[in-house]
Amino acid sequence: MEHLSDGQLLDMLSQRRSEPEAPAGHLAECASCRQRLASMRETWDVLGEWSVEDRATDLTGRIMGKAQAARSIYLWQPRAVVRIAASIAIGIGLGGFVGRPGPVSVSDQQAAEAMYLDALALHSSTGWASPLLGETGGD
Amino acid sequence: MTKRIFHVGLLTCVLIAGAGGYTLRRNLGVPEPKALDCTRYWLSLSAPQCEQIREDDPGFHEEAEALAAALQGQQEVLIGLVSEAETPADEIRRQAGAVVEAHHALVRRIVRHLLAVRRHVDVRQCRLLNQVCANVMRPSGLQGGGRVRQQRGRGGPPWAEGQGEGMGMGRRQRRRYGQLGSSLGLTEAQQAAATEAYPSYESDAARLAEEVRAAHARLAEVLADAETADAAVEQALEEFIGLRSELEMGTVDYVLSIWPMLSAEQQQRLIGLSQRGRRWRGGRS
Repeated sequence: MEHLSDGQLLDMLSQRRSEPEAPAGHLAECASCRQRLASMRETWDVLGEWSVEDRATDLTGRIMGKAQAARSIYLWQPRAVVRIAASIAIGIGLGGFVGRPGPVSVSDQQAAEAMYLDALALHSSTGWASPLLGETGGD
Repeated sequence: MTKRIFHVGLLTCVLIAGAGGYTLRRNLGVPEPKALDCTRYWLSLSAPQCEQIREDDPGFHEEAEALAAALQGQQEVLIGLVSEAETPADEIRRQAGAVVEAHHALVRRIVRHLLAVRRHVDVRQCRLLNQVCANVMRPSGLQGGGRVRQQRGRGGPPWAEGQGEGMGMGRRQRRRYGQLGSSLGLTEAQQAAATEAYPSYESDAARLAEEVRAAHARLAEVLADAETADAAVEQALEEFIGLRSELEMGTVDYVLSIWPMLSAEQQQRLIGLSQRGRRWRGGRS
């Protein structure tokens, strides 16, 4: 005896209220096919109760929009401007720090001049006595 | 990817701005330290030391600058008077006296400041200060170029040793005295006239010149010794100032005794000598 195919069983499920004659006769005689049909019906009933959510969303549009935003977000957002300004400020600060002059060095000559020490040297105030003090010429 | 590009851009900004900041700071250069700062940096004075010195000796730099300017002004006036053949000798003498006084006022102010600084510095700073004082006061000065005498003698700073050769007028002093006549190009008749007007000048000038040297060496010595009391330094200073005034004014009297006899060329030589008085910093600034 040839059993009913899955397709015949599915046809029977989808047309339950008007079942064809031949498969119905076979079912009356074949317990195996009746069991398969019952199992399929359970699954069919579960699927009949599952409702598919339809969001009606344009995914392509949303993805493309996000891609566009990602491209421009770093340049035009205020946060990006602040980052750029901070980078410049940090750069100038670091450069200025590295380029700062070393400790001021003062020579003996500068120090002596700052304290007018050269006025203490032995020389003639008027210049007239300079030959007597052994000052050399050279003006 | 975009994020990475953005961060690379930020890093580039930092580098470019850093290079700019570095270049800008370098081009600004080091500001020339002020006179007060020179002393501070040179001696590595701390802020409290600076404050103590300022309190002990306020207004030094302003006063010294004014005194140096006054000295320079007096020297200019003297040169102007010597440039005019008709200027009365008395007027030149008064002006020469004013130049000497102005110089000594400045020297007194400087020594007062040195004493004030000495009171507030440590041993190392004091040694540095003494060293530069000694360098300035040695015959060749800081500029160098002169020959530093290193003879062995009677104590005092090493460079001054052996300078004194006794109170008598030796050959060297006579030669120096003769240098005044040759500096002015005096004729025998003029020298005879000057000697007649001021008979003791030849011996006085030679003696005074040596005494001035010795007094200057003593002043340098007491300034170099941090242990010397301020009163001893001031005494050495006044001794030096007194002797130099005597030498300066004696020389002025000697030259002015033949002032009407000087030729135009000799007058120019006297102007040249007067200009030597301005060779120090006060005269250059």
